Amino acid sequence: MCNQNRLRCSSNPKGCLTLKFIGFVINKQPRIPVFVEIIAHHKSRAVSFVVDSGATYSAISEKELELMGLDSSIFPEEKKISIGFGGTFRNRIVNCPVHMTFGSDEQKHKIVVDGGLKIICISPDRKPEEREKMLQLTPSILGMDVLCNFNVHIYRRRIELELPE
Amino acid sequence: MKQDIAQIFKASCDNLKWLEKNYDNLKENYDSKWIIVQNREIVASDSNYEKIVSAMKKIDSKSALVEYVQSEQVAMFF
Repeated sequence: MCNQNRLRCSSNPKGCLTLKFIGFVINKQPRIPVFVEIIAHHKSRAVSFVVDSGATYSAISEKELELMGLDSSIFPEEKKISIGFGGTFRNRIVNCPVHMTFGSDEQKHKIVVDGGLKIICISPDRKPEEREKMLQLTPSILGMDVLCNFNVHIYRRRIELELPE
Repeated sequence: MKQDIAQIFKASCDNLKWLEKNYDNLKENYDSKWIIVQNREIVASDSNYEKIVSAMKKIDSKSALVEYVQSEQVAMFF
């Protein structure tokens, strides 16, 4: 299960059989906090991801990288193109292991994305006002590469990611 | 400010929960603005993204939530 997109998983259950991580539905977006660490750059931050079962891969927004203190332009462009409703585009990629930790109370579950995490970049060709709009609207996405490790429950106001035993 | 991962998670979850509870009120008072939520309260707001990034650097928190508030629902398809 954890080998897709070169993922490694580890948990620290303290006598608890099922690990459950809670998020909230905010402005019609199911969101969950994930602690993201990019060890090679000595950067980390809690990022609120939108749970998107329609996305093949997870991706971090340019905004969250900047808030972490990283400029997305230092990372290489991906070789493959991505497809969205707006057409095809080329992302950049964090080309070093990214540690994504899910947590609740004293429970933690870490997923290491060895293959690198995609960055949703805003094209440098955009006008400043378009860039600002894109920054406002572009979330970080938790896609099926990570979600396939969990049972996902979306309720009216909250969301639960449950790690099967 | 140094925070351990458990503290960061608790603070981050609390901020997200607070945002969910208060989003309707925020739409009235902070529509079309960026906000920074730390310890379940708004510590900075601005309509300009670069100013919010500068404010975040001063706050130096790994758990603070940066959010753009919008009352107008935008159709998004990922």
